Amino acid sequence: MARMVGTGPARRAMLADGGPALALLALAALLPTVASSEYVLLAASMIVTALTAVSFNLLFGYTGMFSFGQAAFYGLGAYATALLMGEASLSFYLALGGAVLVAVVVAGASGAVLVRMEPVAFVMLTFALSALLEFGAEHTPRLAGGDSGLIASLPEGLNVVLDVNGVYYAMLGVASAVLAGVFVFVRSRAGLILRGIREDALRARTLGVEVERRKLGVFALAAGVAAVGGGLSVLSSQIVYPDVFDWKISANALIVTLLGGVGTFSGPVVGAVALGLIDFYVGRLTTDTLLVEGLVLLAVILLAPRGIVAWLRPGRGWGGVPRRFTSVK
Amino acid sequence: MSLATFIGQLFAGLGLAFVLFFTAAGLNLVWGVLGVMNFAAGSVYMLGAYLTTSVIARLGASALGWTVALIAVPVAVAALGAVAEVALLRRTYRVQDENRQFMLTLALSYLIAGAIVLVFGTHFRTVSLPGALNGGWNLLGATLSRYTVVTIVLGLLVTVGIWLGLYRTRAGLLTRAAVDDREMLAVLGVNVDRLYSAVFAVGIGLGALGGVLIAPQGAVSTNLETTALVPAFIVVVTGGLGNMTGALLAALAIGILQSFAALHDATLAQLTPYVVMSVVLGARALAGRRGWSLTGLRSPRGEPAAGSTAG
Repeated sequence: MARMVGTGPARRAMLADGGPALALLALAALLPTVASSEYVLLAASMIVTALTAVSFNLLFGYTGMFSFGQAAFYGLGAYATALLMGEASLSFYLALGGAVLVAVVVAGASGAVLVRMEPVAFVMLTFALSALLEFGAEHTPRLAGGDSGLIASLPEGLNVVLDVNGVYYAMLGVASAVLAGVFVFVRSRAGLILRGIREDALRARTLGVEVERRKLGVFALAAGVAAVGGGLSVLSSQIVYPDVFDWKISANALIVTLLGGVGTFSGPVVGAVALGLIDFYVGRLTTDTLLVEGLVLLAVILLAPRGIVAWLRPGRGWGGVPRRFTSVK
Repeated sequence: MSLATFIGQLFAGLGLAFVLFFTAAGLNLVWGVLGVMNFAAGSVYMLGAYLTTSVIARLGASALGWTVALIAVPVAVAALGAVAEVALLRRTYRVQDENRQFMLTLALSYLIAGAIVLVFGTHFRTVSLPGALNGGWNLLGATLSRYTVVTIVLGLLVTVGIWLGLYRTRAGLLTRAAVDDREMLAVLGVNVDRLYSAVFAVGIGLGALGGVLIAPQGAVSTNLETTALVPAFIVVVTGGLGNMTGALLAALAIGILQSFAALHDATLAQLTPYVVMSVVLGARALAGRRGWSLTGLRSPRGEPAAGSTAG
């Protein structure tokens, strides 16, 4: 712990990195006491989005691996949670744990090939993986319910109709634990090595880092985080459809991460809240959220590539670095 | 399998293959020359299909309507592509950053899809073929859909056109030179900016052409984006990034196998692209290639491809 906390500047950097997320989690914990269930449900959807974005950020922001298929693991998390509860009669939390295991195993197997691909092929094939799983969910009616989806058999205590706040706090609790784990990880030596790979994979290799093994490891870890997001989404949606594998979920994780601040710990959390609010209020004016999200993405890439978090830090502006989202090879 | 069935499936497969090849060739061209993986290819394909429904609604499902659609829609969408290239992508070439460029094309795809929802709504549309293209021709007992035959002929024409354009014209020469050394080409007095816009426009136009051809084959809906992108990505990766010949072979293999697989099982047919890709990538890995890309317009690290024009 001593190494993590550090002294002086290191501690300030840690606070700046984790502070916004911590503040939002604290606000989230207070929300049900002041807001109606409509806003609690909105916050619940933000929690799910934030986890998917954290998963994407672990790969792209920290390691420089551009995955366009985090929906694959999000969807696996959702289906496996619902199936383990329904078919194996596990409790929700055991099912969620099982779902994470499923996602990690699938990521380990597919990642063994994927992490060795050149970057552009990695983008395209992670995308193809999520499309393949969507196809699988649509065409296995007996297992996954096909197009009509899979109804989760949730206990009364976790039924969103009966007890919105109970479900919300369950989601918030699990998400907070995952976020804390990710925070410790990205600030650990292992997290530092990932950033080293992002900056210069060749140099990291020369220094003795097993780049492929590290990439595979973070691919599996990110899959687990996305699966938690998918598993939690079962609580608020209660039915799992094949569109949990839709590429828009992967794209959403990307937009949210960029909006909040790529490669920062708080970025994906801040971005999830910001985009959630934008979609919520714009959704009252138009149903065409595609156009809105396209404009948000365009604005972030062109005007504020470092995201909101950079703006929160004193003495730093919107623009400036990173000029590149791709590391120098 | 009778000869008639064989010929029938082979032709259906060729038709599928060429529609696949249009989008894949557009992706490859843009990737090979500009170094941009164009995610908007799917939405452009969808836009082509939607604009076709508009043209046919105005001019009727006549020979005239379809001729106009086949020419005007790809040209109009290509012009839009040129505008997008100038407005969004042009500023990104100086700092070569393929992730940022991919994100810009992703934003573009959102904007196009959003505009389609705004203008056309979310209901699906259908268009019908001109009377002369309904029905089929007989060949050795097999009935070949006239529409498929037209698709194949167009596909062959475009394929030959791409090849001639790249290897037998001055514009093609300059395009290949731009892959090798953009700066040197600019120093020699070539307007590289204009060349890049043109290449992007052609790539986008090819995708739109695929959309025009697919429009009468089923419902034109907002699902088209994904149904176009996934197989096109698979064709491009299987054939080797930037490799036109590879993409053509991959599209043919996938289209024809898919058509024969459909005889047995529709689900199996839809899995064909994944199976072909796994087999090809697996074989390539076993053959011990370090890189995953065959030679093409652009090699994996963005260096000029081995054996290309500049020595």
